[in-house]
Amino acid sequence: MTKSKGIQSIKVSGRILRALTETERGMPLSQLARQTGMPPGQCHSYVTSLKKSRLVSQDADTGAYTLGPFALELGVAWLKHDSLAKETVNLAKRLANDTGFMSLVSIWTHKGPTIVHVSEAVQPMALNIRQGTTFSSINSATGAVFAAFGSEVIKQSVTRELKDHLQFRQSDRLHHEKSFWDYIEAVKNDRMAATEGRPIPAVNAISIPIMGTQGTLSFACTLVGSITELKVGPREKHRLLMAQVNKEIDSWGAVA
Amino acid sequence: MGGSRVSAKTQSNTQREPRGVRSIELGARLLRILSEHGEPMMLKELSVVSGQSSAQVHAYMASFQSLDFVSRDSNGLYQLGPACIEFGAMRMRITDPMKIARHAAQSLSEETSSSVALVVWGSFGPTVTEIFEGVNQLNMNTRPGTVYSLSGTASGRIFAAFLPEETYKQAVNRELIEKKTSARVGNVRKIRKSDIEQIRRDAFATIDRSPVPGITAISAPVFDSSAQLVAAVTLIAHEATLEKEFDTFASLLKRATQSASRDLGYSF
Repeated sequence: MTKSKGIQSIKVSGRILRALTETERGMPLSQLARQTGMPPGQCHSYVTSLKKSRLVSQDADTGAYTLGPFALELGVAWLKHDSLAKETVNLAKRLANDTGFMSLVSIWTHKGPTIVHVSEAVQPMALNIRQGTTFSSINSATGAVFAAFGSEVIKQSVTRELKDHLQFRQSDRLHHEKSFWDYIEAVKNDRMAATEGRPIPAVNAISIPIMGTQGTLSFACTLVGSITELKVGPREKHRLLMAQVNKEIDSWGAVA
Repeated sequence: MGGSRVSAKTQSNTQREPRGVRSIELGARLLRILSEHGEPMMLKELSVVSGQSSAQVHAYMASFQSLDFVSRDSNGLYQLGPACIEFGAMRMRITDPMKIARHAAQSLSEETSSSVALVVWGSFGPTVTEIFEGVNQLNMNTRPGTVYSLSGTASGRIFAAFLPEETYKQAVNRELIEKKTSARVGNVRKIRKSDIEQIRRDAFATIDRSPVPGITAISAPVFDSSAQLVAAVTLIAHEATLEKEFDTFASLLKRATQSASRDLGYSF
């Protein structure tokens, strides 16, 4: 009896936390109750305990609920525990140290490619890039890696973003559906994506996929640098460096 | 574990709030144990550390597993699962490091009735972004936009100790070749390696010869989830005041910056 109750309240908590990932500004109790299919009173008692455990926060002014600081702690702990995540974060640190460029680790969330680790550049650039920042999945090197190596679900989401984009900018040649997927095909072949001056003007990026043991895409690891320093042409130094990294990654299988 | 049974039970459990409360808090405690342990854990270990029966812990783990909050490694040991990073990433998205650091500086100023500066790394070095003034307004050469020296100010020394080695080296070299007429606040001088190591150990810096006679400062770092320096929070006061209140002010400063770092996902 106790057992199944434990299970039940954890499952309900999972539903509440899922619903809260949909919101940035926060959700009032009534909306949260509606989305999780609970009477507001019952939802309130769950949320109260989740708040005590710091999995949920409540805005002091608006009363709206968001995910809490313990959610962040769990994420950061996972990055340190999971062997592939640990390896990928160490790779990002090493790349930032060796090249002097900013180096990022991203995962896929329903908001698109989302940064979970930042290793700052030696000469920090004035960019609004930090943990939690999302990239466009159709207009960034990181996004291209997800489009090329991601699951069906990710590809569908990319396709939707592309359709939405084309509705407003039909003349955009790069994003013409065919040329976009041709580009993604090339990314697949190169096992890396490079962008020049996109999405941020005068900033270049090179991104590579980090595949999990099941052969599914787990992370993208991305170098970000100024257009004058990070050259992304086919035979350029940093592109060759990332090709070298790709070879090293193949030997990671042993750790996972 | 079937979905339909769960929803039926949810209905019947409407009135029993305390039980719901307890099981969620126990669940969170189990997740905390897993997160702090660092290594995958056996069911028995989890049961010992949490003080709950194995059967009880097993039931929790099974439901966490179905939510991907927990996964099992190849040896069947329990560890945090991939859902943790999804929720973590969403919390990162709504967590503004500058807002949290700013809040820490402001509360510290209120608690101590002293001036507190928020200092970040800018293109020219440690740069003041905001000053929260205490009850006794100080006459000093610090306002938003002021650039401090790395070596001659308490704030600067925090950056000297916690910036990546190469960033620090390049910046300190720039400072040394700068003209004497530079508008940077604080004398440029050599920092001993032992001083840097001390600052790293204590996560706390002060300054012996202050840039403004009679006024002195103590500073501490705020870190983010990637363990990188977000800002220095610096309490500035009359020498006499700070001397008298040193222990209190130092511990309030440390508490404020540590709690801000924790909110940003930094683990100590």
